Amino acid sequence: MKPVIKAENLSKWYGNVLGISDISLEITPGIKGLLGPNGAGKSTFLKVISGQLKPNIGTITLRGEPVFSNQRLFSHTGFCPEHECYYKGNTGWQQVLFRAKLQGFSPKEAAEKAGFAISRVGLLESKDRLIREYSLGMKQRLKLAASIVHEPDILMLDEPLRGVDPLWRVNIIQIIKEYEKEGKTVIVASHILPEIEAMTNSIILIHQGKIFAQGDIQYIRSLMDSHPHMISVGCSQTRKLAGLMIDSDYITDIRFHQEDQQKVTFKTNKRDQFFDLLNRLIVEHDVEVTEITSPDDNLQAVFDYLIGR
Amino acid sequence: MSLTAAFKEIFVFFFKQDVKSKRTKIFLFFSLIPVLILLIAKIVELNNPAADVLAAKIFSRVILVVYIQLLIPILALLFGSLIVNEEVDNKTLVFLTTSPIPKPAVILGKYAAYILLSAIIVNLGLLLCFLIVNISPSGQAPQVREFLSYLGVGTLALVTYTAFFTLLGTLFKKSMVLGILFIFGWENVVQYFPGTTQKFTIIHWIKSLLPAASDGGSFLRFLVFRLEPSSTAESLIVLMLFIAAALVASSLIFQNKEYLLSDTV
Repeated sequence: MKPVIKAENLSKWYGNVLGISDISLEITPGIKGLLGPNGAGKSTFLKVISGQLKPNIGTITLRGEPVFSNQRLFSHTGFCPEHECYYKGNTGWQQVLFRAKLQGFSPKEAAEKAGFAISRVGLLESKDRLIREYSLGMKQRLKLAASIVHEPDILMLDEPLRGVDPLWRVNIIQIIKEYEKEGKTVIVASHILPEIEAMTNSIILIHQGKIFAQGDIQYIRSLMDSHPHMISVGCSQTRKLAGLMIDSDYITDIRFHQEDQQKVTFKTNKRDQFFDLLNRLIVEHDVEVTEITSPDDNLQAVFDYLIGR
Repeated sequence: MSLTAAFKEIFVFFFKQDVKSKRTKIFLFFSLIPVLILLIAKIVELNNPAADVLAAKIFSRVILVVYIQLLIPILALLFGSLIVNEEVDNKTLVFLTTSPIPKPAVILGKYAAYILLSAIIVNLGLLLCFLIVNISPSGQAPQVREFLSYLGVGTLALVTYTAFFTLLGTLFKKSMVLGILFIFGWENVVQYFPGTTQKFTIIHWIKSLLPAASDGGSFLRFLVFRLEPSSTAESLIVLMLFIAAALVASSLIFQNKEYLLSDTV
């Protein structure tokens, strides 16, 4: 698939402070989770690809065009910043309508687009209230409305769920997923792993300004052969299963659970081979298995491992 | 989006937003203080003709000086330096710079909106002062022509100073400090240097446009004090070129400069 965003050797620093360093990547349509701790360089990366900052080294192109000061390109992009950005004394409606007008829509079209965007984030009833009276979650939703008012092809969201109540988290995730279904590109930056997991399994891990890894969770795991994976197996014959597995070169540790006698956890550094062996032994020795889970097969485990925690 | 269309949207939005803002009300309040002083002087004058309180004298010796030499540059500094800096400080810059509008439209649209606002504030005050001064039981003819020329020069001063402070604001984050130094230091001192040096001030060209004092007793003598005034035509050309250069430079800088918001990294 043709990349929508292409970064080559991208570096950005502020005086002596490094923002991002030597980032090269291609982003294709779909949802990409940009994950990293605070100060990792997520916001810098988003600001560079949204054309607010110039890279010191390297190039960044969107739809094949350079980004900085390429205002024409911005009718295809939507950016939702992490911080609050609204004009004091304005209502939610005025803010979104202004944004729609700046996209070049006629007054009638702008009003229609603004109305649609505002209703999409559930602020139709509060649209005439002053923004400063909005709760944090409402302000967050308003920012999202302003960034999607022109239905951009490329949407960049910096911590979009910050301060949003649980119900609206689900709705915002739904909006983002709808963008994906429409074949659009969404980049979501967050330092909260479950947020990203709820939207996509295609992630870019960023730390100290560098890309640590990118791909889906499984792909990232495959990059880490040395990282032991935990696999818990629930069965009535845990000791028998452990006895069969113990000779395997792939097993580095076996643990029985005192609180749950019918569960055994294996540690392996060759996940695929482990599962091949497990499946074979279950069939050959007629072991009744109730469940197989991978307690660390989530973004947190990958993330912790990669940043060396 | 074309420059003119974007300019219009920016102008309308910021004018509507600022016309009702607390900041504008404060500026209006300060610009009306001289009106209040003049009103009191006029009441005293009318009630006690023998007293040595003449509203016209206060107007010419204090009020006009306050407006043209103090209020206008300060108002221009506040509005001009805010054009970019308030967007950076409030982090609303991202709202404008990620929109598909030519960046110069932001500078020019906001500049025009703030010029209109500050011109209303200043000229309203001046007009009220003029009306108060001309409340006369004797029915003396008011010096309308002279007043209008002051109004025009005042507005031109506003346009010029605001363009200069817009340029400072696009260049420096702490443009307010530099602006204060410029108004109270450079402008107030260098304008009295003889020869060519005085021409490096804005006030020199502004003052050159003011009507010349006809005699020592003219009620505008204090204000009109000029060391070596330039001709009206030359002053107008210089000021127009200066305004154009400052706005073009501001637009180009804004187009190419990256502004760092406090949350960056």
